[in-house]
Amino acid sequence: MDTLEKQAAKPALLLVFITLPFAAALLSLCTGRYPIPPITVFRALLQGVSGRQAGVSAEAMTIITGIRLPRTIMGAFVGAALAASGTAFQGVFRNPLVNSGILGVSSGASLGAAISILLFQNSTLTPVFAFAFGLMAVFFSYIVGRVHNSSSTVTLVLGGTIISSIFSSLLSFIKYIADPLNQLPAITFWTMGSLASIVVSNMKFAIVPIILGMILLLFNRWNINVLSMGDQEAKMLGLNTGATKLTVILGATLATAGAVCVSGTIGWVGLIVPHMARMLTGNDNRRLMPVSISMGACFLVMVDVLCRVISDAEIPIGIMTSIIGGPFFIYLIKKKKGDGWT
Amino acid sequence: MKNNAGFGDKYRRKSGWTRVIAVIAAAVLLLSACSAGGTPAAPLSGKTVVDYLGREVAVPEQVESVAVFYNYIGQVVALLDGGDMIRAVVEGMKRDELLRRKIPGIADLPVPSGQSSINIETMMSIKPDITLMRYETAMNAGDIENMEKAGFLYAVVDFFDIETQRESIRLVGEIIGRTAQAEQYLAYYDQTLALIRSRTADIPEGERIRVYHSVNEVVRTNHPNEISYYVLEAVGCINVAEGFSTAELGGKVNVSVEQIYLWDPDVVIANEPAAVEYMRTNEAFTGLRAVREDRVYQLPVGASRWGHPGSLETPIAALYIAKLLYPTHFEDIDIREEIRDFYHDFWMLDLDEEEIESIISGVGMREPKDGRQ
Repeated sequence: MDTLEKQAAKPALLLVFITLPFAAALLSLCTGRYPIPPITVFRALLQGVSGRQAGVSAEAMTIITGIRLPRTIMGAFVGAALAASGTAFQGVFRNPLVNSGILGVSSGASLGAAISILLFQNSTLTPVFAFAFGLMAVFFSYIVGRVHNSSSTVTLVLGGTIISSIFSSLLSFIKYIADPLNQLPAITFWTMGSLASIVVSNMKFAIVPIILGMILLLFNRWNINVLSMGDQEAKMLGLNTGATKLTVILGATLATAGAVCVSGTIGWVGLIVPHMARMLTGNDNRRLMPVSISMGACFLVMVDVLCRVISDAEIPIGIMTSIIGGPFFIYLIKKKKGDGWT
Repeated sequence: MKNNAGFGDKYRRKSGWTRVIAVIAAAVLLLSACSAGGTPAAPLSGKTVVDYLGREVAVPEQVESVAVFYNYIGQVVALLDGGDMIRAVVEGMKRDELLRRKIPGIADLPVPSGQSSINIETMMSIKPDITLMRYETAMNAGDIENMEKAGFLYAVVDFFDIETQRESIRLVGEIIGRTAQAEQYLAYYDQTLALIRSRTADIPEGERIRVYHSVNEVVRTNHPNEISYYVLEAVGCINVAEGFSTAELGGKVNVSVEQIYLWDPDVVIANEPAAVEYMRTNEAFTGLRAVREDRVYQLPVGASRWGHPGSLETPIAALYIAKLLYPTHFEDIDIREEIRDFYHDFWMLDLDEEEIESIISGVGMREPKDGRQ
């Protein structure tokens, strides 16, 4: 997590946004069907780090380090990545309604995952395919959106919508021909998004591009501010709009593709978390971006906790984010009366 | 054929007379279709059966051709020695090694029922004497209307526990005129379950093995409307998921990994090789006692995956699970011998050692989707 701009933020607030994700993570580690007292959670973590026996049963050890820890870490990274790229896209496209999937990365990743499930039934290839197809979809959107050698925000959004729609149709087709006994549940489960099936060996596929993407976005915070004034103004201020836009798109795409390739498509985080952050910080991306990242991490970890608590079974997190996110978004619109976004 | 039906359909809305004419035309078409197949057609002078929905279905005395819209039904028809009657199948059946041997030319048979609808034109090119479908297919009002409009006879064959499964086998036997074969199988079914019950009845409650059954997926277990739920009951083990039905989603019981830890089963059985592999290797399961004690077992795969909600091989699967859990109570039972006899007596197949091994290991009996030729 990056820090807020020193001169702009009170140190106390800074501390809050740094500690908040860790607090959420801690809560997540202590919650689940299997009752494990917090002290045992600490012992298990200690034993995991030091390798010295701390009197934790094999069951509790696996549940903490093999189940809860991976999904907590991934939840935080995925939430942060989706929120960061949503914030970036909302700024670059000057549109409060776009989210991290606007250029087709999510539908591309879903298609890639479905193809992999259909062809190989191999879980290690699925994130690779998802990642590659996510990038591919954004690349196509970019090509489609490029008119007269420049990429206006409108044509880019249009390109993204078209490509998303094509990829979604192809996904529907694959679901149609998939084996209803074996493959269909896997594909459906994947497209609903889940942190439950995260495996440690897949985490590297996600975390490396997420960190790279977020670094790119954090370095371009100011540039996003400039881009959000419009292409002409940005050019007048001496910004190479084409190159900057491409860099931001690349950063946001890397982060989102990294996220969806292991967790499936998780909606709404990339749309509402930037708005929640915006309510606190305003539209200045220098502060908005890090706050979004922190809140995205908290939001997804907390929703995942909720998923585990409210039912005996696993509810796919993508369903929960929409169920919680939708009404919350309506509340925001009503409360803010649309201010600050236009 | 197609044009005629189209005309009938168009005029049907106009007057009662044209409707009568259309019905007669359809009947004539159906009759000619049957006689074209080379059989004396007498569709209405046959017998009446009661299907799963309680509908009374008038079935031709001698059914010669059947379209099946569900794997299980196809397996029952093949089991009752009606494999050569099958004119239409579902895609999954084509990948099943044993069905390939029992249904001639299965690879080239049409698949009129997709996931979303029945292709009536394909059905018209097949013209089966009767179509057998499961409950879910029959619940699609649009499809059923089309089937009825086109004059296709259908019966619903389905089950959710041991008793209804037995009835479904009897029903198919009656429809395709193979009642003797059906009764023979049902007798074996009864005897086997009775044998298992008699051997496991005196096991004290404290010594009963606690079992988690992974159904298709690692985190899915059996639902009280699935046959495997009753198989576990019949073999005298404790199903850890018994009474756990708060998380039903579309008739499935999905559980969380932590719930499995909470149950702490003695043994895990799974009907899907990938699920066994996943539990044995995934770091999320390394702490589970059944995994640590290496008591995660793959159920065999014969004509169906044993323990699958749509499995036909219930008696032999129950026997296999019973011996797996309580070997000392079944010492005299040679399970390989039982499997060999089972496929010899009921499937008319003589399996060699390698094939029996393949059934037990669950590998090689169902071709993966991408390997289709």
